[in-house]
Amino acid sequence: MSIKQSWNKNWLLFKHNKTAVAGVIVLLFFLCLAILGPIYVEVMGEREYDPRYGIDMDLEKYSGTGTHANPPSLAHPLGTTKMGRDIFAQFLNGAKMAFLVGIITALCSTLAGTVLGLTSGYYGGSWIDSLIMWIVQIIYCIPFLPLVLILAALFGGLSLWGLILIMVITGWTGTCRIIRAQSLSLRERLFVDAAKVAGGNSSHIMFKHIAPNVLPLAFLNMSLGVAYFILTEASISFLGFGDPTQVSWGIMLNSCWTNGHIFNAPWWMIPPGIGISLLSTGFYLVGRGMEEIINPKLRSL
Amino acid sequence: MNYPRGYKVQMGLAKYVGRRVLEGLIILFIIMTIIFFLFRATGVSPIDMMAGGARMSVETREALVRQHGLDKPLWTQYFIYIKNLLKGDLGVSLYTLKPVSEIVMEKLPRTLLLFLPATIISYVIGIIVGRRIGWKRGKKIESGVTITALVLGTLPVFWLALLMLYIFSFKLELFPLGGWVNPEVLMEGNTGAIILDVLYHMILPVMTLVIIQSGGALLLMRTSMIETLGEDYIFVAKAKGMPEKVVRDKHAARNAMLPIITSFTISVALSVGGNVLVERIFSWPGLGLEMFYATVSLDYPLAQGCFLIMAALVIVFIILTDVLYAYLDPRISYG
Repeated sequence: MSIKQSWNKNWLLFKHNKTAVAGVIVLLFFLCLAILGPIYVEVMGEREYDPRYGIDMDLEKYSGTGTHANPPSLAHPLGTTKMGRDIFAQFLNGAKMAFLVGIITALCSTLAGTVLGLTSGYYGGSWIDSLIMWIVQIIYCIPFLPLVLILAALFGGLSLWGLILIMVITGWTGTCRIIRAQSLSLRERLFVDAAKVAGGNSSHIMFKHIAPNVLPLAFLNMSLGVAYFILTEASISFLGFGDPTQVSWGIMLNSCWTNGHIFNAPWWMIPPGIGISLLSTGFYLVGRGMEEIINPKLRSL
Repeated sequence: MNYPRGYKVQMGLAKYVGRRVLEGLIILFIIMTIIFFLFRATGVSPIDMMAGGARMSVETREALVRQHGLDKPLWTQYFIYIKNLLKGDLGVSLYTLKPVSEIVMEKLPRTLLLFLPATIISYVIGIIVGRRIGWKRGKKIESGVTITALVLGTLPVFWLALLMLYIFSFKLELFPLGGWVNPEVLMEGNTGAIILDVLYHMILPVMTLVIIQSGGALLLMRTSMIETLGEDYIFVAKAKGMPEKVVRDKHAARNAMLPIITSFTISVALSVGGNVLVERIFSWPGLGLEMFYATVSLDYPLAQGCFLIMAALVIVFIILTDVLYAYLDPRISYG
């Protein structure tokens, strides 16, 4: 089955899957928000509304918080932070960051996991397979958050790309295991023998004959991966080990918390959390939809 | 090209356990090695690691250099490091000057006290609800519960923790804002009162963890249940006219439990690393919080010690999972 055929067949199933369509709608909504971000800042004025540096000078101190953290108003639809920065602008920027971090990380780690899983499965039982599976096991046993803490302590903080790199290095193992199991069984199939007889070399068989069959599984893992990495980035940023030069949802929550506004400025604390869970739910729903396509037992009739 | 097809070796359970334990030890050893070279590669002097270089006299520094063989080549240093770890010597904390192993052993039980009950409750809820939901495939209630579980599962744990604190501790003033026991109660020394107070402090963090974890357990149970329901023996049981409840609980659920049990130990293992967040927010003085403060204050030996203990814990739980799985499902070959 070629990649195109498998794509067409699965797309048809995907379109008629309610869970998946709901997920896609959520994703499109947040995509619109992410695109709206720069436009909003442009229209409202960069000096007051820039998510990182903009400060509204006209803002009075709010008696409820004792700082410039003001509740939602017409000028600031989601209120302002302690410094008088617009929370809506930060929220929109957070949506962009979540897509950026989640998708880049998931793409890289799924790609690595798929290629290594294919190789491992195709050479199942040989030393290549053992080597890859040992690496997988070792990474699997390293507790992730503590590792990030150690690295943050050693390097004196992590940049956004450093964080993405760590997430990719530790994040590919799950995909690798699943793809390996799949290609272990696929290589026993007749079409692989046929391709061998026809004179195809290993990489040809792996990438032209086996890969198209594991591709839906890889996509499923990627979709779930995006949700996972969005949550992970938020956790690290919340602990204060994220990139302070960026405004992500995790960093918003971190600054709300470290500035002591958790209890008196709910308008600051609520939006980032809702953003994180809704967007990851969107990716999960898409993943679930794909799962039902891949595993026909789960399909409702 | 020919590949060894029957490469899965059949062996006895005892031999399998032995091999897994050996593999676990090798992995732990490799992780120790990685940590050693990571610290050396980033140029953090082991002297700074051990006693905060700036505050030492020249004599002390030289004595330490000799004692730890820092004037010797890297490989000798590496062997000294491994030898110390094997003796259980994790170094001394820079700030409290207490042995790291002592600190870790004090904090570890508190972490387990929080996370074991939370995970157990989550899985009990997940299994009970997931069993019913999987059985009611295609009904409205199924999709409703599934979506709810999905959304709950994607809530960021730290955000939910903050919300819980806001609602239950700040607004309703039902629970304490953090900590694991009230110092006054601890001073009085009444054991019963202390246990009650610890339980009281546990409620909110455990509730937070249960809300998030039970969703995942529920979804897993549901999926596993649906897969089991497609098996022939369920069809036979139904055809024989068995009561629905018996087929559901005795035939389907019992077999569907298999992946859940392994997922339980895995999720305990993973929560070992994830506990930093929850412990930080609820100021629960466990291993995670200790590690957080060690990182912030650049207390390298303490951070390293916490990390190694956490990695060891994860390895123990993963071996436990594999052994449990091999024991419960005789169909799998010990590959």
